[in-house]
Amino acid sequence: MNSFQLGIVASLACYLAIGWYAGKRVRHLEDFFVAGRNAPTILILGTLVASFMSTNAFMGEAGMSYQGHAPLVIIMTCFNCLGYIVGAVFFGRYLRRGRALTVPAFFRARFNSRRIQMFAGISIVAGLSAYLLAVTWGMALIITEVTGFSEVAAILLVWVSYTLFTLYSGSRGVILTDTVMFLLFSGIIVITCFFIVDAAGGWFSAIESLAVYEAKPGIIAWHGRIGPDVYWQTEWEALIWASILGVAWGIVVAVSPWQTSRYLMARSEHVVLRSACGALIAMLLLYLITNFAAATVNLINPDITPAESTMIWVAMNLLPTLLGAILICGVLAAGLSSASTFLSLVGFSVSHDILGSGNEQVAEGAGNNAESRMHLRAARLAMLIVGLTVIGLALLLPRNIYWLTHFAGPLFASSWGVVAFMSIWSGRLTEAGAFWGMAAGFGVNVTMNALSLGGWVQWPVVADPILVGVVSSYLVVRVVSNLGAVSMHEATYREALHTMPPQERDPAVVQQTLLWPKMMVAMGAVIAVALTLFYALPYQAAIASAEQMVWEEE
Amino acid sequence: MMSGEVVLALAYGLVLTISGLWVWRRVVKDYLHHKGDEE
Repeated sequence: MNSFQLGIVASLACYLAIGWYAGKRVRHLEDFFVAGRNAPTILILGTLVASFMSTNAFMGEAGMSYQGHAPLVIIMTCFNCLGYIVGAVFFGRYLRRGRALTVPAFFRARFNSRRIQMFAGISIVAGLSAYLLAVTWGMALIITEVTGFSEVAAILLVWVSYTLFTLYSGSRGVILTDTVMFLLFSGIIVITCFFIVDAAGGWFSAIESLAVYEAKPGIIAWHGRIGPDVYWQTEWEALIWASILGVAWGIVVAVSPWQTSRYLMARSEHVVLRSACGALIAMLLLYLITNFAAATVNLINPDITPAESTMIWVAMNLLPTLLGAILICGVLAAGLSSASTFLSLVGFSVSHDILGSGNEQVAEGAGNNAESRMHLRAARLAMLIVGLTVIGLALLLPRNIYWLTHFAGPLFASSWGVVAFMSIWSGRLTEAGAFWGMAAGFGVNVTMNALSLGGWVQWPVVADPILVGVVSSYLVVRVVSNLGAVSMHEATYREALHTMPPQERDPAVVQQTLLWPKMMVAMGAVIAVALTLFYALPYQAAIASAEQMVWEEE
Repeated sequence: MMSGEVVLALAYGLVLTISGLWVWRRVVKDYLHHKGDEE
C-alpha cells in the first residue's frame, strides 16, 4: 500500500471512529436531527464552511484559477460570503427561534401548511441528491487518480465511509467530523501555499513573474485573463459575470438548507451570529490562499491537464510524500463533509417532511421512550434507503459533475430565497403566496437550466437562471398574496418569531459576541493593507518595469 | 488614479471591515438596547 492509499484509508477510519463516538450519544430525534440544539460556535463554524466547500473548491475553482481567472473567483467570493451575514441576521436566528427539526418543518409551522413542507422536502431530495452524486463522483475521481483503484471500488469506498458515520451518528457526528475536516483542509492548504510560493522563487518573484506571464496574460490582473481565447472578452464583462454569480451564490449561502440547517443546531442565537462572522473570515482567507496558490502553480508546471487536477499534481509532485498524502486527504475531506451533510438532510426530509407526519411533537421533550426510538429507527432506515439509491445512481448514471453542481446548488436560491426572508419580514405574505412563490422559483430555474443544457438557449449572464428564478418567485409571491389574506395563525407565529428570548439579552454574552465583529474589522484592515503591499503595488511595479523595458528596446 | 488591482486589494479587506461594523451595530441594537419587538 503506498502513502496516498494509506493516508486515505487512515483518514476514513478516523472519521468513522469520530462518528462512532458521536453516535453513542444519540438518544432521540433532536440528537439525530439537530445535535441536541447544543452546538458551540466552533462546531457550527466548522460545519458551515466544510459543507459549503466541496471538492469543487479545490478542483473546479482551483482549476479555473490555474487557467488564469483567480481574480474572478476572488471577486465572486467577496459577494457570496456576504450571504453568511445576511442569512444569519435576517433568517438564521429566527429559524432557530422556530425550534423546528428541519427547514421545511419551519415553513410548515410558519404557514400552518403541510403542502409547503412537502414541497420544500421534495426540493431538498431532488437538489441535494443531485449534489451528493456530483460530490461522490468527484471524490471517486481523486481516489482513482492517486491510488489506482478502479472507479467502482473508489465510488464504493467513499460511499461506505460517509454513509456509515452519517447513518449512525446523524447531525451529532456530521458537525464533529465536518469540523475536523475543516481544520484539516484549512491547515494543509496554508502549508501547501508556502511550498508552492517557495518553489516559484519566493513571493515577490512569483508576483513579478505572474504579472508579465506571457502564456496566460492578465493571470493576476484584477480582471484575470480576457480576450478571444476565453469566455470573457473585456474586463467589464468579466467583472459583471463575477458580480452577478457572486450575488446569486450569496443567496444560496444565505438560505440553502445545507447552510441554514446548521443554525438549528446552535446552542444560542449568539452562536448563530458568531459562527456566521467566523465563516465569513474563514472563507475569505481560504479562497484567497487556494486560488492565488493555484495560479502560482503555472510558474512550476504550466502544462497540467486537466486544469482541475492542479492540486492533485501539487500533492503528487511538489509536496513531500507525507504532506502530499495529507493534501489529498484534505481535498477528500472537503468532499466528504459536504456529502455527509447532504445525505443527512435528504434522509431527514424523506423520513420527517415527506413520508413522516412532519409533526414536531415527537422530538419535544422526548427521552428514551419507545415512540422516540421508533422515529429514530425510521429516520436511519430512510437515510439508508436514500444512500442505497444514491450509490445505485452513482454506479449507473453517466458522469456529469459540472452540470449537477451548477444545477443543484442554486436551485434553493430561486425556490426558497424570497419566501425564506419574507416569512420573517413580511406581514402580508400568505400561505398560498409562499407555496406558489416557491414553486415558481423552482420551475423557472429548472426550465431555464434544462433549455440551456439541451443547447436550445444560451442565457446571457444578466439573465442567469438563479436570478430570474428569484425575481419570478418574488412576483408570484406578491400577486398571489394580494389575492388572499393572512390567517390568524400566520400572523401570530410571525409575531412570536420576533419576540426575543430573555436569555439572549445577557450583557456578558453579548460582549462575547461583539468580539467577532471586532475581529472582522481588524482582519479586514490587515487583509486590505497586506493585499495592497504584497499584491497590488508589486504587481504595478512589475508592469511598469516591463513597459519601461519595452520602451527602451523601441 | 487607483489601479484595478489596488481597488481589488482594498475592496477584499473592506468587505470584511464594513460587514464587521454593521454586525457590531446590529448586535448592540438588537441585544443590548432591545426595545421590545424588533420590527
